[in-house]
Amino acid sequence: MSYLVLARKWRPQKFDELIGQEHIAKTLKNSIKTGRVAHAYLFAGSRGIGKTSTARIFARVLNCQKPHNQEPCGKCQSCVEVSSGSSIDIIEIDGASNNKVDDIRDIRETVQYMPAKGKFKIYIIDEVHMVTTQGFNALLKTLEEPPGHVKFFFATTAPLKVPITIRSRCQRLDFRKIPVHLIVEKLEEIVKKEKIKAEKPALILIAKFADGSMRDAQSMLDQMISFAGENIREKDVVSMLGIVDKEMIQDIVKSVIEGDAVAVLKVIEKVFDMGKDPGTFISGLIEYFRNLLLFSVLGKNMPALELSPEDEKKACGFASRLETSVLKDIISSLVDVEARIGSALSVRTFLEIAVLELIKLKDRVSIDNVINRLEKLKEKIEASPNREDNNSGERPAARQSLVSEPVTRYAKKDNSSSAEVELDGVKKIWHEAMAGISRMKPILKAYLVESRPVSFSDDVLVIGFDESFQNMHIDALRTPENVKIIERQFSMRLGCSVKVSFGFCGGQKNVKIESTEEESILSDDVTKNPHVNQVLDLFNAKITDVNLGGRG
Amino acid sequence: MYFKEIVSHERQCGILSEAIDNGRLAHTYLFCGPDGVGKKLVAVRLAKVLNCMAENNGPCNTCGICRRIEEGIYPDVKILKPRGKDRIINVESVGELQRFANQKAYESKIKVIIIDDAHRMRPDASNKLLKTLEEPPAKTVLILITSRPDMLFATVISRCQAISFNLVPEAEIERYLMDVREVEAGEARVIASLSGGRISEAIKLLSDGLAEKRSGYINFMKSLLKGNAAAMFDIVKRLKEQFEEMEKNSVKMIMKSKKLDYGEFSGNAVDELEDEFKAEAMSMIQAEKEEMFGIWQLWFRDILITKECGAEVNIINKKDSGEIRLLSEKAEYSGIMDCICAIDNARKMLRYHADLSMVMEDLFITIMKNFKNREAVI
Repeated sequence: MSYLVLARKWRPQKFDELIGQEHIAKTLKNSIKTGRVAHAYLFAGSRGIGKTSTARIFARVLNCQKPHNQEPCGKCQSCVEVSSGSSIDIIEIDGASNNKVDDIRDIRETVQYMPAKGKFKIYIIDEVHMVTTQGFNALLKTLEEPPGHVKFFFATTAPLKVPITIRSRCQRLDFRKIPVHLIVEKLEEIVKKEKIKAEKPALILIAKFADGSMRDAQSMLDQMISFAGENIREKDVVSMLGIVDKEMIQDIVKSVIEGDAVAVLKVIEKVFDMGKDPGTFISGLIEYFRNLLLFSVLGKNMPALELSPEDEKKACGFASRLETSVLKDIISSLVDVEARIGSALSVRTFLEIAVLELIKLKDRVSIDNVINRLEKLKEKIEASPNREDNNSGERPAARQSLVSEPVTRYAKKDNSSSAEVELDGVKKIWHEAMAGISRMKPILKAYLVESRPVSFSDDVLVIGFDESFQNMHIDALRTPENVKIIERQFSMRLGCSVKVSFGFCGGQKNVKIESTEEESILSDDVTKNPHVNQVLDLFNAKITDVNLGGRG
Repeated sequence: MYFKEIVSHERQCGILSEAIDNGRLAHTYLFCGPDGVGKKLVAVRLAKVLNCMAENNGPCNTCGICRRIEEGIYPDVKILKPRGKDRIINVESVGELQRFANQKAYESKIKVIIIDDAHRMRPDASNKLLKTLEEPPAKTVLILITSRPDMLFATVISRCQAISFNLVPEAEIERYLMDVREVEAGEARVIASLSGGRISEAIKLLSDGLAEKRSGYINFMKSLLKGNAAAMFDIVKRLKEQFEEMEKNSVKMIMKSKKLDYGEFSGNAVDELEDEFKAEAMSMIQAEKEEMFGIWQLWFRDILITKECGAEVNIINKKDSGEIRLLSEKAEYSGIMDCICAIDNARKMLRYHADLSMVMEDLFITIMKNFKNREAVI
């Protein structure tokens, strides 16, 4: 007898042998039990997960003379004929080759004849998505109301290519990809019965690579047997599939965590020197970091990851050294790399840069982190008592590197209590506050443009206007909404609550916002100071503002 | 031993040799793997092994049969390639191939049919081929070659014995260039890196006079980094002129380069050839631009790596290591990274037919911006 490949030798013959498709087996068995078998089924799902096998089993049960528990007996004449391929009632058609309208018309003509032996005449059309539009249309009427003795089973990997009119006339059953551990179990069973030795990690690797397809897994096992003989080891599989071994991945993850650029590049060099596929390498990395992410998020409540205990320990160690947000960033950056690697100019450079970026990514402070720290700072400031009677409460906060401008000003101001200096403080932030107000509500700026601060004490800021404007502008500004906007802008910048009242400033025209006399003297001092000049040279900077605030 | 001159691919050649020795040669093979790693070479080699008159180990490469196979005029070895503007294999060519398969061999022991770029088969062509793949006539070996097995029908793949080829390790390309082609060591390293593990790419780069071109492009970059804005416009102008010149002469250059390819099998219609030439000329100029960007990218990659790792990791442009070290001190990590990304972007823009001068100016400004104190650099 000629050699039969494993995938055909181990094709399931019963519903119970179907792996990973319990929902479908149950549906079909129940439909037989209750006598509710539809006249047309569409089996959809990716390759090698049991569509054709299911169609064949189902057809055999329906025509079996002595079905047992909704399973084919395998002994009666009908079952024997089907397995030897000589049945004339179960017609299996390759939809990819017989896709023309004439082929479909042939089916339509034969449909009317009664089955020769069994109860039903069953048409199994495999790869049905390849049938032409005309072919499908020729089938529509027959498919809607076929004679009672006819069943149609369609199998396809691309159900969306089947016209909606066909789909709506069928019961659609979606097949799932088979989970890795089920494939491994099946492979172990096969290996045992074929009397071959195989390491479990090798089988796991095959199962993973098969990507949910039993047939692919079995063909790979077949190839492995002819490649490695009676004893299949993990390293044979690695070599045959051209995948990147886990030591390399672990090395690179370790070096990324340690920020060792040299070591990282050495691994990349190894990948290329061994002729590994860079795409496979990246997807290996993604898978590994995904595992780390799961460790990091779920901690001990991990689902089984098909990792050996020592690998798991290693991964756990890595995961504890990286923040979850960093892991997320790394994965999304790697996914991006994976998508773009095909169009890269020099794959090697691309890969090297990508992994160097991972190191930087690890050290980068995430924006969430920054926001968190700012929030904490804000809380501290808000929680602090009134600035008059506080001395050191929030000063440590002010010293933090992330401190923002309003706080600095506030911190500078806390030591002074005289109303005069306070007014200076208001003057300093006046333009800034105006800009803020105009951002909130541009019209307010127009009203306030002719105004100036008059006094600021006990949290009451008096804004004064020229007599000529006062009535018109003050009326417009006095609505609660506007007052709230103005108060908010000032209190934000001064770091304390501010009540605004409007008045008129008559003769106080000499109140200057830009710079006081004292400040201009100071600014002379500053420009002459050699240290300042050195700083200016070093940073190629220029002085934009000189003020007194720092002296307090 | 049958495949002794093949670079790398020991496992693949081993499988084939063993099959020949044990008389278990399958009738359909699928060679899949990246472009330019030597799949077709192995396939043609297999045809020679099966037919060579010399009875010893491996093909002699000197007998009439070997020579005719090499030239593509041996009647019992047929190579089917995608044709025409769309580069497809249509159902008619497959029909022709089936007739060839069913004929008796003229003189050979085993007929060999090679389908190059099999993923270019139209769906109807693939389906037509299925029967032949399943049960080919006696004494016929079919070899499908593809870099995109994902584009082939599963029905096709499952009928073949698949042998997958890997990228050639860069070290092996380097060794090959040095030992067989007598390329100087530093140069070999650059070519090997640029080839990305594709040996035919390496050979192409070599025959295109990469060394000269490379120093030209790198000089552009060097003068850019020490020059001012005016120098930049000059460089852009020169590049533009160079590519315009190339466009004018492209067809001539293709005719020249044709000699290197092993010949077209049978007489094609003339207009079909012309179509192919036009498409090829376009892709050749495209390739030239990619090469330029590739050379630049490797240059900046070296700068980046020198900055990150010092002298601990091997750089590719070894000859210029002094300059590269100086340059690496003049820019920030992120600045160099920006340059590398900008080069990649510029390449993409040109792919979408953006204006050359605009793209180049944009790129050069980005690069100059990221290298401070340019005057002092070189």
